[in-house]
Amino acid sequence: MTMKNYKKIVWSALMIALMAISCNDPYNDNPSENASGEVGGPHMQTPLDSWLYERFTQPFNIEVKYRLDASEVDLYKTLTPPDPDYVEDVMDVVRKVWIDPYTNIAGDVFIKQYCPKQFVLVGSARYNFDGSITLGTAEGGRKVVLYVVNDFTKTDRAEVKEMIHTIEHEFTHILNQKVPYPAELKDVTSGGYTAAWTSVTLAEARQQGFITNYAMVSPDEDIAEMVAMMLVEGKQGYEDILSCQTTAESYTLIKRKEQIIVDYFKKAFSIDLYALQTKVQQAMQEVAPVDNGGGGTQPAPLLDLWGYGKKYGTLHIDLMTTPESTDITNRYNYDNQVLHAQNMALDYNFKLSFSDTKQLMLTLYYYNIYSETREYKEANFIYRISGPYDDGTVDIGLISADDNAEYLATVLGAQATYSYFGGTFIPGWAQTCSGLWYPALYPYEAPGNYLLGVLGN
Amino acid sequence: MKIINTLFSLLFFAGAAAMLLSCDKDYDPVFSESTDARVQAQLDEYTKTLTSAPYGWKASLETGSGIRYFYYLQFAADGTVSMLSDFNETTAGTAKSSLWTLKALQSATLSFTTYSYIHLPADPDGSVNGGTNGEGRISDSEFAFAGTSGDSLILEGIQRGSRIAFVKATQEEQALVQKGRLKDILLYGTANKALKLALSKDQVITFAFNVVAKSITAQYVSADGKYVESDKIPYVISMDGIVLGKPLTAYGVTLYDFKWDAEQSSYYTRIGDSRKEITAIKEVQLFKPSVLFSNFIGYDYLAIIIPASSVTEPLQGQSETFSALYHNAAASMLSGQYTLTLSDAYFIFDKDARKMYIVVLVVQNEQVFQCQFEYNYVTAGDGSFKFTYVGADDNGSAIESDMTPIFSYLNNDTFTGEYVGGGIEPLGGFFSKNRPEFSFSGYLSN
Repeated sequence: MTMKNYKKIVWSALMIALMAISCNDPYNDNPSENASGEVGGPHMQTPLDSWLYERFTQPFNIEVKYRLDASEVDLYKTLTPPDPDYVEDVMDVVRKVWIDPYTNIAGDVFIKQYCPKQFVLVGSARYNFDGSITLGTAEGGRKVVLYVVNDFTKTDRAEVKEMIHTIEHEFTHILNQKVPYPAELKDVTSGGYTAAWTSVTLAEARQQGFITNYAMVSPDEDIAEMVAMMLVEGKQGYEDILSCQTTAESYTLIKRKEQIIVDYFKKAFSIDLYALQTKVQQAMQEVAPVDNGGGGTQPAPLLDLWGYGKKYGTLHIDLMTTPESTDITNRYNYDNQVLHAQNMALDYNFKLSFSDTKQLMLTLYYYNIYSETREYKEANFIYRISGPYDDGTVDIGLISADDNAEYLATVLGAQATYSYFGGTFIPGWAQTCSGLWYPALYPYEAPGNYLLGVLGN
Repeated sequence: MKIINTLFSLLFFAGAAAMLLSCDKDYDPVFSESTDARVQAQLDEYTKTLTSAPYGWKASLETGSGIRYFYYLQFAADGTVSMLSDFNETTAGTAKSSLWTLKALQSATLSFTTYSYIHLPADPDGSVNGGTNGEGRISDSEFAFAGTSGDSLILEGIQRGSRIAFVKATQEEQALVQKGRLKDILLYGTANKALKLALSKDQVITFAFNVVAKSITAQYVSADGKYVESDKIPYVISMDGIVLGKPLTAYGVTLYDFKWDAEQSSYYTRIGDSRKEITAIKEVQLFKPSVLFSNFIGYDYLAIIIPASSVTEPLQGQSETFSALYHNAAASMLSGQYTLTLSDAYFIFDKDARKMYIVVLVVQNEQVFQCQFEYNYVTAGDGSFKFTYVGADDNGSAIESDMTPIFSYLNNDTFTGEYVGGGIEPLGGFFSKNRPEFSFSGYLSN
């Protein structure tokens, strides 16, 4: 090593050292004392915050955001934040109808692992340019946005179904991202997928082997819709849709998809989809019971709900809305004709109410067609009801009638309707082809001559 | 070679000196604190301003629809805010608590983070505020501090461009607001279906409130004396009464506001030095411009419409007798054979043929049907009408029995046609000369 080289090295080392210390700037090294980056105004922890933390954040690592944060939603839409009064109702349903059935069937870890990590709640609907509104969206399995929170009624079955449908649908997408569904699902109706799904009606979709028209968008949406429909409609409701609205061919196609999906859930997640379906239905029935007629699941035995001092006291019959048996409509038409000949008419609404534990009262309404102001006359027929006996039957027999009822039956001669109620009946629930349940009275000898109604008070 | 080496050494020295000097480590930072700290300080300052108004704030919100709303707000340091608003009778009387915070967006921003009365005009659901679906009354949930003007704090909506101005309330104002002054003021206008200001016997202005549109309709005889003017004026409630969104000029005088007389619970206004009362209309208020109504209906307007709502809320000029019969007609259609819901009814005048057609719209299973009745009519020089029944079409026949009680007046009596005041739209009415207890009216329409 020469002296010359040695010098070079010294100088170079000196230069490097200088460089290293020359721009040591304590100001720029100073980190912000507010390192979390949380700059803002007051942020109070409300009881609702604690409630949400305990039910979602702590057990499942889900953040529920209800305070307005424009950056979480579409900046170009006019949206309002939710009213906290509704947040608890919405999230209570989410917990009970979506999360709990899953944890029940698949365990806590499953939800923790796969659930979307954030729920964002919006008070209003999101209005789209085509005039439609959006009720919920999901982004990449991370975030679910629920809209129209301020209109949510926890006990309204239709609203609960709509919301849970959205969540189950999006959650299926997430599961599909974790474990791809079998490719054979895509082949079942491979030619049917179309971007123009909006121009296909629901009925047409079902005749082409799709559970909904939205399922026609792609196989991804197809499986999400299948799972959502199966869980939300329940076994009965789902089967009814199939039996009412499919052709033999499309029925087979949907059933084949169902089988592939059920196998997929079993293999990929060890989940029995049918068991999950039952749990979801139980939860829904608990949260938003439909037990007065027109619901999608079979309520408790009729006489548990309908009776003197029970939840419902009256069976309302409206011949215009419920699909009555021909025997009932014939009886009504007969009486109405008898009355018409005497310038009177029988109203198509009537009711059957418990006036005592063992007493039923039938109230018919009739009026004079030509009177200037229509005045309804009430005709009350009192029956004794005994039973139910071991075979589930009840006996109903006329015991008395008030003056109007007497007049209607004996003077005017309208006897067909009230006389229906003498005899042995089986009280129960009837299901229409669209899958809705109505309280019904079946004459023991001729069950085909049933009477349908809606329970009320 | 030696020279080159020396040159090389010199360059090292020069470079080293330059480096040592180039970084001035003793400079004074422009800001003594970090950006976050400075932004936070500004937000804290605004927080303090908002929460330290001892008697709360009065605020005026100007939405993109042009409608203004009045608010009374009290911000608390825990992030809650309690407010009242002149949005409707409920919000004017029942305080609602919600959450607020400040955010450092492009500038310091006041954000109302949960649903409050501030969001009512901003709600995209048109049925909430009378606006269009998707935008409502074009207002905001978040407002950026934009400056001060006098004692006002001005903020601008960051999404839809509404503006809100805050002014500190006084102790007296707070006491009044808490005693329900906003509601009292609004309710007097809305509970009384129609009000009037009589400048003289023949110079009357009628007023009708429309809370959803947030406007007052003022009606008066035009300056040339020929017609009835109908002017919709936006209003906003103040601590003193009602402020008109634009001045109203009628009969040569100009009104800017209605003052509230808390003792009498009524409005008044000042014209010059004299106080004039604004009172509820008890009897029907008719205008008598120089053009007779009989020379007006069929000419300037073709029809009067009796809206579906008059079944439950009679219009000015609809007598009790008529209302009862109309109500019965609706009930009888609904309970009748076809289960019809009575909707709007049109009385259409064909002046050339001297025909009047009554077209009653009825709804069955969400489908609208037209039921038509045809009349001939003649008018006399005194402006009276005589109607002669001609016939009904098939749909008309179906509801004829329901309408008979009303037609029995129409077919038999002689009527005077009148301009009726006090509607939210111009009204025309027919008053039976034979049986004064029967009169009906509807909105003028084409």
